[in-house]
Amino acid sequence: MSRDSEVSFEILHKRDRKVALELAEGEIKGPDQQLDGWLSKLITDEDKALLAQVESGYRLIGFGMVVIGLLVGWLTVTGLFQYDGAGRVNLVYLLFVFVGLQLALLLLALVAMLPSFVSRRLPGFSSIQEMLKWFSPGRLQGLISRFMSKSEQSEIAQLLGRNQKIFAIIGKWQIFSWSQLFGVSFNFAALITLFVLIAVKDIAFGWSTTLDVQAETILGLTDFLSWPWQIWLPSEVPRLSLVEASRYFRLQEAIATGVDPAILGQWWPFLMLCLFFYGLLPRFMLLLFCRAKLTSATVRTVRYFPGKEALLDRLNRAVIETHSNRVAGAAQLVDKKTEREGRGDEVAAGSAIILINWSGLELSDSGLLKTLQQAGRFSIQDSYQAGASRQPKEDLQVIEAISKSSSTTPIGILVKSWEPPLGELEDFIHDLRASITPEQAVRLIPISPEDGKLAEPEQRDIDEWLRFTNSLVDPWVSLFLIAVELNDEFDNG
Amino acid sequence: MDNAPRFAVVGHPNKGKSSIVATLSLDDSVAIARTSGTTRVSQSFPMKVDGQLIYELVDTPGFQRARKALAWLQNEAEKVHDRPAVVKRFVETWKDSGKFVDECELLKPIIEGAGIIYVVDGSRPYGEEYEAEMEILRWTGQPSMALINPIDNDEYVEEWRMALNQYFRITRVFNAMTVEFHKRIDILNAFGQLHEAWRQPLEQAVKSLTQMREQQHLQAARAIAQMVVEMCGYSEEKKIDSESDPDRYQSIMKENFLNALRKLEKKSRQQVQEIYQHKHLKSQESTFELLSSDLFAMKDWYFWGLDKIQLSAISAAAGASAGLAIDAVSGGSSLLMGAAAGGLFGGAGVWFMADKIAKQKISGILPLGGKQLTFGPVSNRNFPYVLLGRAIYHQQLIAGRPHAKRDELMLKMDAQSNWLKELSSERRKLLDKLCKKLSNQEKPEEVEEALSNWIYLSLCEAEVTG
Repeated sequence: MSRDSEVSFEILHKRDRKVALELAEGEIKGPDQQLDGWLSKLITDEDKALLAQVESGYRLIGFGMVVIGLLVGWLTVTGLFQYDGAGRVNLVYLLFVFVGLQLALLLLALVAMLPSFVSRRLPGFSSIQEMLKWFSPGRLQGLISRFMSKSEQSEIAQLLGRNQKIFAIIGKWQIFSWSQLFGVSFNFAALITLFVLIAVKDIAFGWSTTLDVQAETILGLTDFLSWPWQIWLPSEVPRLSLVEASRYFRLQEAIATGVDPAILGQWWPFLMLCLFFYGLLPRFMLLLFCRAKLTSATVRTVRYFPGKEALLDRLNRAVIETHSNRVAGAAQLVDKKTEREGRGDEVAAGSAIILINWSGLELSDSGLLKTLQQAGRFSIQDSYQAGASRQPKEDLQVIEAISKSSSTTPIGILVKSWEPPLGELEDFIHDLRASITPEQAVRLIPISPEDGKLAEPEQRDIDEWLRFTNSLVDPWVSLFLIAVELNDEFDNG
Repeated sequence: MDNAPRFAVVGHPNKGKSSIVATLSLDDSVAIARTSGTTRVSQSFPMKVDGQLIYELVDTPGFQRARKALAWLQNEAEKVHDRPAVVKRFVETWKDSGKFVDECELLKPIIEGAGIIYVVDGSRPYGEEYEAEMEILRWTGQPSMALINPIDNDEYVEEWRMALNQYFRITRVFNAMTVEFHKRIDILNAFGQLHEAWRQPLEQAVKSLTQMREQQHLQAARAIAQMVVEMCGYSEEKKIDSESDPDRYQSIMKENFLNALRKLEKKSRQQVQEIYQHKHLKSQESTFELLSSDLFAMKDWYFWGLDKIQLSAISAAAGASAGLAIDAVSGGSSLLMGAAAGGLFGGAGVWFMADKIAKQKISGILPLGGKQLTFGPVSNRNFPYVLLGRAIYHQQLIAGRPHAKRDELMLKMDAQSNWLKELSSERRKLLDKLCKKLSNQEKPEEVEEALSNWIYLSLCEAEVTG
């Protein structure tokens, strides 16, 4: 999908619709089926290889977490039980590590997992979350990923949301899952190591503290901690006699107090249960929770993955094309730039012309003829009708009549300024020029009559006529524009 | 589809044939010029649905020697029923001669069976010189209709209608430069009425184009919603070491932040243009000056956003504290209204605005040392409204723009000033709710989907109400 972001809608639609039509032939129609089918059609071998790399990378990280967790768990318990058989292992210290520290870390993990819209509302929590990210065991994935190939690293980096926003939420729960996997492995290793140590060594437990704590207080604590199993394993709840017997002081030797050493070993089931209920079990529960959140985040990402609805639309809506097959512009078009702009040639005042009315406009009835002569400052020697609705042979008759006169009087061809010059006018001028004396000027007179008067032709129309006269490449053919202000003067006068 | 109908768009040169083709084929690449003879060779515009040809428009050159061609035809035809065959013979006789080039080119699709769409300019008077070409078209015997394209005005439309009715069974007015979508559809229906066999394919074409239009609205709504959500959630971040002075980075971060937002908005604009097949509009970027005016220009905020009372109302309705309401108001349009009144527009305003709409945050000491500077996201409640108002207005201009248009896209500053007030209370409430979530950065994916639906409905409503 990410590759598609730079491709136009049109191309994507054509591609995806083609896939949908192929799928429809195979009776694949539902949205989920379509998406699966679409993915399988468009996924490349390269994509598959990358996905396989990502999966193997994830497995490697998970395995690494388990190994590191087991190792740390084993080392921790072994370290705590450094026992030479002469002294006692201090229960206070063990409870601090197995219960106190574990619960504190669990609490921090829960804080880190708080959704941002909750943490934003709690002062300081965002900063704590930010800080906790740095201490999450899940960050060990960075260390583990060093054992991966470069391509695996980059793919996973992307999937973890460093580059892709959509995977950010998945990445978050993936990190938390790995953290909990570490926690579970740690506790599991701790539990097994504890059991093995107890089995192979004769360990005497005792409790000792510098603080002024009575046996009753410790009993209260052990009773409280034994709450999860006190009903179904009441024998494993430490009694006052055991607590009192286990107290020792730094300067006092265990054996010297006259306590039966066998009693001092009775603490181990309590310790193992503490480790199970306050270490392994909550971590395991949290692992399940994180896995569930990871699954729901993945489902959610699929549910909301950007462009899913758009993709389904592309699959299910017909591709409609209305464009030309040809490349726009290109050969069939002619660039008709204005070569010359201006107002055309002037005619000397009082000169005579032979007028050919090519416009089809009624001149005499509307009084336009008079206006035309006054405004154009010319007199009409002869007048002919050609073009418009007349037959082409009538055009030829006009040419013939003019050529017979052997006059050098300029010829004025009256045209509608707003109508574009056509090929037949070009043919007519060509035929006319071939029949008359070469020095006999032909002037095109575009007019724009309005209510019996001459209106100013629009500049774009004049430009069109200028282009036309220029395209004839004949010095004796030019444009003659009537000064419209004179038209008004005559009218007022 | 076998024998899909073809329609040859013919007429005098420079009467808007290509404009009509561009508008009907939604193709803004068609060369359109006010000079005559722009089209020299026929060009086909097939309409295809999933690759299947439904109908075809053919843009043709204008008549150049109609009277001479008609004279040749009249000379050749002895009986009325010979006329179509004579026209065919005319094309065969003259096609490679160099004479009647344009006539042969435009008559070729017609003698092959195309319907005739004869185009005239309703802003220029009728003239007798048109009769020869109309007569030639009549001689072909093909179904035909006339379109009066009032290029500059409709002064001579009635005059034309009376003349055209003598030659064509159907005459319609069709302004290629201003026509709305439903009128384009109506014209296609009219094409279908020319021949019984063409009715069904044209109905299918209309149905498909209507679906395409809905699809375009949907895509546009998604693109806009994505942009709004992305922009509302955008922030610029930078890690610096503990000794560095955050103020040193403030200026560059602010600039980067503003530029990133502008880029996101521009990308969305281009997407919307592409969705509505205005691909060449981007080459006229300068004409977009007003619409692409700076997002942070105060006048835009004043224009598209909520006013003081509206802002107070939504803040109160959302149960916000009085402090928030005052903050929103003072950071929003009250300031802008004052600024607008004072005429404080322009570059300085952008910087001023940026401080008001987005806050700079310095996250404490990071575990590995250093500080994290964050600029944004925009916290002002008005921001989503401003983005949405601008984007929807741009979409309206683009969606309503015929593909024949080549002029500037103009923004009328008073056109949409009441866009929020015109919404029904129900739709307004939903929008307020979504904008609130946007401002609070809550569940952006869900907001995007809901916002996309909201925009889609708005676009569809706008299409119906015009």
